[in-house]
Amino acid sequence: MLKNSEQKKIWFPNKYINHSKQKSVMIKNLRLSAKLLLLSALTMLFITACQQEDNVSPDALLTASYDNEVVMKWNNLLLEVDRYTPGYLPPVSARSYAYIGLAAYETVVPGMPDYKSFGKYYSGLALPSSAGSDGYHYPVALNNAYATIVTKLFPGVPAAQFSKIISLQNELNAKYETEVSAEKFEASVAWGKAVADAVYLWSTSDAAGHEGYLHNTDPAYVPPSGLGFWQPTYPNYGKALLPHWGDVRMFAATADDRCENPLPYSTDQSSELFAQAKETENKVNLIRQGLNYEDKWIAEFWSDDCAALTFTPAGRWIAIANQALQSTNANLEKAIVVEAKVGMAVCDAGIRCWGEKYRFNVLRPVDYIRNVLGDNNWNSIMCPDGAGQFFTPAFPTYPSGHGTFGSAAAEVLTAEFGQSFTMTDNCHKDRTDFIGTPRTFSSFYEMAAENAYSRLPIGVHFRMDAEAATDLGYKIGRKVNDLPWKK
Amino acid sequence: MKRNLFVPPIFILLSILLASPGCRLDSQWKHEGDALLLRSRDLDDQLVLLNTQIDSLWDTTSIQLANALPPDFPSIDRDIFINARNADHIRMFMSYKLLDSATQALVIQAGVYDSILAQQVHGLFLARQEFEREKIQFLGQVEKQDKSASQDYAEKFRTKENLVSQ
Repeated sequence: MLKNSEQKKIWFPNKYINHSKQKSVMIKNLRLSAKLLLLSALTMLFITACQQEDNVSPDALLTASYDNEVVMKWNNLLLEVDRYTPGYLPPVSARSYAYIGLAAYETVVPGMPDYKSFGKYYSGLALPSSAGSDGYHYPVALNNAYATIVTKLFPGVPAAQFSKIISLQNELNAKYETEVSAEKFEASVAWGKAVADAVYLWSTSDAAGHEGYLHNTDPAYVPPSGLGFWQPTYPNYGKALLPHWGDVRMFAATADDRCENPLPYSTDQSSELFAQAKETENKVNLIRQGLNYEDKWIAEFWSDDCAALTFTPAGRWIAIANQALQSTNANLEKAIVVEAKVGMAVCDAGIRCWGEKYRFNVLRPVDYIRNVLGDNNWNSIMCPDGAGQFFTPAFPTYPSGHGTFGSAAAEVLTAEFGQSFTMTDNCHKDRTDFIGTPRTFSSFYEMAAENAYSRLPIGVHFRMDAEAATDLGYKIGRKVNDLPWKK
Repeated sequence: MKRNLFVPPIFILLSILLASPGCRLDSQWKHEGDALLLRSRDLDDQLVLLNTQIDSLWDTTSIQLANALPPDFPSIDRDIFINARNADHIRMFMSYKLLDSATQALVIQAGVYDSILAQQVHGLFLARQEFEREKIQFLGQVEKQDKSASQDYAEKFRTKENLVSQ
């Protein structure tokens, strides 16, 4: 390009030259101009020959602008990882969901104007500084945050599931790579990884919970002995699982979140404990006789703790949240908030529930029914192994873990989706190895109540366990709701 | 007049000189881009190979288990064992203890192989992360000079097309 001063020299020559000379200069100038135009045109032609149209789509969108695809795909894979990775007992699995949920939330919260980070709320959680709301493509950041934290929290994941993690990360990165500028893609990947690393690092500072999958039992732990106390149960007499889980760090609950004292131990036939043991015994016996199909259905429908068969009882509520999000076509912001809340709720539920279990150390129905009621061959019907063997989970009965997980999750789901929310739970609809036929509910509270009750007809809990669990779970769920999510 | 004859070639020369940096860069990208595309394909191939090995391990184990389980082995457990494709799950069952030592060894061995394969998948995961870092860096460099070329390469990485150096 010519500068203005040069242009003036050409088009406004010296006014003192004669007319013919002026004409000749003008012709020269015209030729020069034509050549310059030709030069410009040729230059443009060469440059554009090496380029294509600049059609990069806008990529500065808020979290709520995106759909929930990344969350759904990762959570569905996570449920499989949860199922197949050894050592992930329900509370351990629940803790993983909480940290994954927090990492996901912190990854996308810069794009959520109404919500705020927990970076300043949780002591020791040192999150990286964000580049602001329009700094990232949130699905990209989220995809890479999930891949980072899932592989760290599930280091023992079997080969097949690990391979699926790689495939999913690749699939989503490839999808979004063409939708966003390279600069933003790079920033988003780095951001997602940095947040996930920070959340994982914080998780490692929780000594009691970190690598819980490696410490399911404590060889030094000796359960208290005496009448009414829990002892390893028939038929496998497994060692106490996670006896110190009550010491794990929580997100919203505190050690003050407790249950009422359980029913006093009594062998008196007029005692409430005796009556509740009879209730559990009878429910199982009816099912064994081929009666009361509804109870059998409920028992198997909610029984998510059989080895190899399903995800954990904590994972069940992630699966329920997924279905609720899908059915309401929730956007990414909603999906992230819901999953983070459910993750924290089930995590704290597991911690407080196990804390209470080992505070009270109440015996399981199988021991009471066999030893007090005198039904010496009685057993639960939980998780058949084909050889006529059924299990009772290897930890004290009061309160119920299932019940606590479910009601904590139901409380946060109710806050997010409302008191009346009709849904059909299709988690196990295609199963043939147990009754997974979908059941329909009109609220999450109704689901939580049935989930807690399901442990009676399966024979592993007293009614008091279910009732205490729902009270404790709802309390914990409310505390999760009350966290400072919003600005 | 004589002077005028020389003018057009000078302009053309100038035009070529002005335009050439874009094309020079493009050929640089092409070399690096093709190399990255080949690496991408190689990483994909490695994942496919590992998946084949994982499937083969558990297909073989399931067949061997089906043949090794005693005829009176509980039918529910038989189905679970054959379909579990996970040594830890099989070992959790009480009926696992009913198996003879050879069949138990089969399950244990499958678990060991699966752990080895999982380590290899982990190695591939790390290699993939490193590759992604380099790829993103490459796309960023291209984008600084030509956004649409960067988009084209991103598309090529996605589709694995145009591997001219194969």
